[in-house]
Amino acid sequence: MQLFFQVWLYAWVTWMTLTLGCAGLLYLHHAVRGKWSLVILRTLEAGTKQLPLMMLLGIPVVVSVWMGEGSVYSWLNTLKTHPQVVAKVAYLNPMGFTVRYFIYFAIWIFLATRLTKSAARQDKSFDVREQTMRLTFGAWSMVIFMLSMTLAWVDWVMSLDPVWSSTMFPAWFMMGGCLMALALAAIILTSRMKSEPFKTAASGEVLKDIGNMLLTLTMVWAYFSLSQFLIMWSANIPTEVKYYQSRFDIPALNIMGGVLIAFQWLVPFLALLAPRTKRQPELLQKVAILILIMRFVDMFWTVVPFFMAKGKGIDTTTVLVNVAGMAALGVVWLWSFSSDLRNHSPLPKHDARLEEALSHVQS
Amino acid sequence: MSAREKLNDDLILGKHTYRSINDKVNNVVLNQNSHTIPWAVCFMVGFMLLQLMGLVILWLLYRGIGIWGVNNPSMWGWDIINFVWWIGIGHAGTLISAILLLLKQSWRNSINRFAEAMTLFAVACAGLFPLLHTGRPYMAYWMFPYPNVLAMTPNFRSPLLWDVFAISTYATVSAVFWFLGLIPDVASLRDRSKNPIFRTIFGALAMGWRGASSHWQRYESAYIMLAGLSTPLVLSVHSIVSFDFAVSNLPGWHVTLFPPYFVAGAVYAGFAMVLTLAIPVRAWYNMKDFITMRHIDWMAKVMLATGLIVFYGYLCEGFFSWYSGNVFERDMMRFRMFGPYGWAYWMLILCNGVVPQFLWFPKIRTNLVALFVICQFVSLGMWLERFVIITVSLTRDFLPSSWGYFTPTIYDIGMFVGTVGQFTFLMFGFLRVLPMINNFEMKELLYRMIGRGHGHGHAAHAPEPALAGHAAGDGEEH
Repeated sequence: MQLFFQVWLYAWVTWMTLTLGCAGLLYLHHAVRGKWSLVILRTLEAGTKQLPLMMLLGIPVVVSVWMGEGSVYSWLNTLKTHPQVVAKVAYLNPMGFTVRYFIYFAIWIFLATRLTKSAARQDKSFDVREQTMRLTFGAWSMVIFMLSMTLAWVDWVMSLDPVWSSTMFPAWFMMGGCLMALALAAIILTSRMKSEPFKTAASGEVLKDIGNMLLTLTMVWAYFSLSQFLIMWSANIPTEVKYYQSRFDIPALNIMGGVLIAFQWLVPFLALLAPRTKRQPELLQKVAILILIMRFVDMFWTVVPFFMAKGKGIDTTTVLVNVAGMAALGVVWLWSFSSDLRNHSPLPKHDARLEEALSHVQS
Repeated sequence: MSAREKLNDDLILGKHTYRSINDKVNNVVLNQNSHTIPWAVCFMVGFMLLQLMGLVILWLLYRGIGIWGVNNPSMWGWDIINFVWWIGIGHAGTLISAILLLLKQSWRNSINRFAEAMTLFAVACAGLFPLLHTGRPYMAYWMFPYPNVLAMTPNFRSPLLWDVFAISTYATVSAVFWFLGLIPDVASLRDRSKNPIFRTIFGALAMGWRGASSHWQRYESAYIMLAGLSTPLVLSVHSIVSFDFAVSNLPGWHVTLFPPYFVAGAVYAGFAMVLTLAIPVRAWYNMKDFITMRHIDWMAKVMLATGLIVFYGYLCEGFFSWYSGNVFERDMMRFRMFGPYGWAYWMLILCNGVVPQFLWFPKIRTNLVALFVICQFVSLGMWLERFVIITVSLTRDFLPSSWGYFTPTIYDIGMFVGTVGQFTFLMFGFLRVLPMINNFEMKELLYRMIGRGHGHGHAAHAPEPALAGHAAGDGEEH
């Protein structure tokens, strides 16, 4: 039973990261009126629309905090009496966790719906006031999103080890989510670029911009990861450094960490530095696929070791069960996502910049 | 100077031709009568304060750093606060010149030159503090890993050593970048100056620039490469400065979020300083056509965004020191808020958390007086941030027996005021001898604006095209 909840949590957190990454990029797009994100706006919207689904799929996580001794969260059982846990019982308690869970989703769904609806209205009415509204509302959404998401990652993942804390962790999760969402969007975009309207809309500068954005985000991922590691490693405080120790002590995870450095940062970084990668959709797609796969590995490396008993290695069954769970949830997510994507026009109509680019070719 | 100006769409206002831009920018240097009383006042005040700094340093070298307020337990005081403050201010220059260039933000063109100068002068101010803090600045070369008979090597695990490399690299790359960008403009000054001495100096600085297409081609690729090199420096320098604190295990210093939050704070303070300089200077030298309200609005927006990240950092510090459940972390936060330095903490929240929120309003962003005042709050706030971080944590560590209180001496104040003087002196000296606005990049911008404004670009081939009032210049914004 424990194992079921652990696997579910890992799988749910992974897809939740992707969903929130889409949401974050969506708010960013509306706040700054990004030109490059216009062609992937539908992907971001479809990803963000999975928030209600994810809220339902996360119910087992909420249930698990009410299971007391049987919970996956050690602040409810093994570490219940630890002085550092007792000190924050006002925050870490089942009721607080549950209430906050629904508040987060209510906020995110409200923000995303308002922005998406406004964009859809403008697609029909071409009313510029909608756009002005989204600029301000998008900026505010970013602020509210950052704050709520920080607490959400504390609740869902950081509290798996209630004695451990890191101020970088929520920001790291958000950046990772954005990287994941952008990689997915890049894969979808490049696979549709053989035909119109993407052939025209995403050619040249836009593809280059998306490549550069991927480059930036992989660097931010590496920068955040390295900073957190270096600070904890240097200070060497036992309650903190055990996060890395528990992962370094297991050879398989150690190798996985090395793979992450090489293939989530070094290889994509070098590949994306080359202008050629950002010119050829096929090459960019390969890099994006690599990044996306590595993001799944990274989520495993981050979440699953929280459940492992000290000194115990990692066995093949655990890996397989986790991968299967993640894939099963992924099928649901992707099915819902792709049906959303299919139900909408491939490109938004409200932005004059995109219309202009397309009309040039048609005329 | 009217307080409010209208927000414009174009990045160059008025009716300008290549010649009029050339004349306007070059005249500030070539016509030495263009400098008015405000210039003289700023330059002289800066010069006097610089002399004060000289005296303080002389006394410091004679007596030792005991003349400062630093003492057990607060071994770091105003010296390190000022160091972090100045190095942070420099970051906006690099961001504007390198990152915005790579992002093809054409609004950087009129402000990059003096923002880069600001970077260099801020780094010059910053570098003094750690150097003097060593107590024996004449032995500073010990910090470099050179072969020696003392069997002494620096500790490569220490971020203080990384600082030496980070900042010397930063200063070098920034100086080269700045100088490279100056070459075409200096050549233009050389060709136009009547004074033989000026012509010789500018001629030497222009390094034989003739404006040949091979020169331009090499120039462009070198400039882009240097921009690429400078970009990681924007992040790395202040991250390493933040490591100075974060790798320790002192509550309030040991925060994993420090690197990005320090970088955001650096850019935030830097833009406040760019605006502090740009708002009066554009009025005094009548550069309103080049440093337009659109530029100022963009800078204010960047300040708002980075200010929000900084404030997010404060909220995280507050929440996580409580969430950690660690008694030392919690007490540190309590001392910050309600301890002997509580006033500094709440001032900090006011300056960096509350006041910048006014930048949400477009009316405030186009009100120059309000914006100038906000920038002063930001500069003060960023200084207080370092003060709060350094002083509270050092005077309230794990053992109550080692608690204390830090009081600055007049030499601390003299040193700080002295670097402000040095900065002002250098900055206004620069305005007088070198073009403050990137002359050729402005002409390039005009070329592109005209080309796009007329739709076919034919006007660009005309020898002296006049810019129509509403040439489209909004294509580059995102």
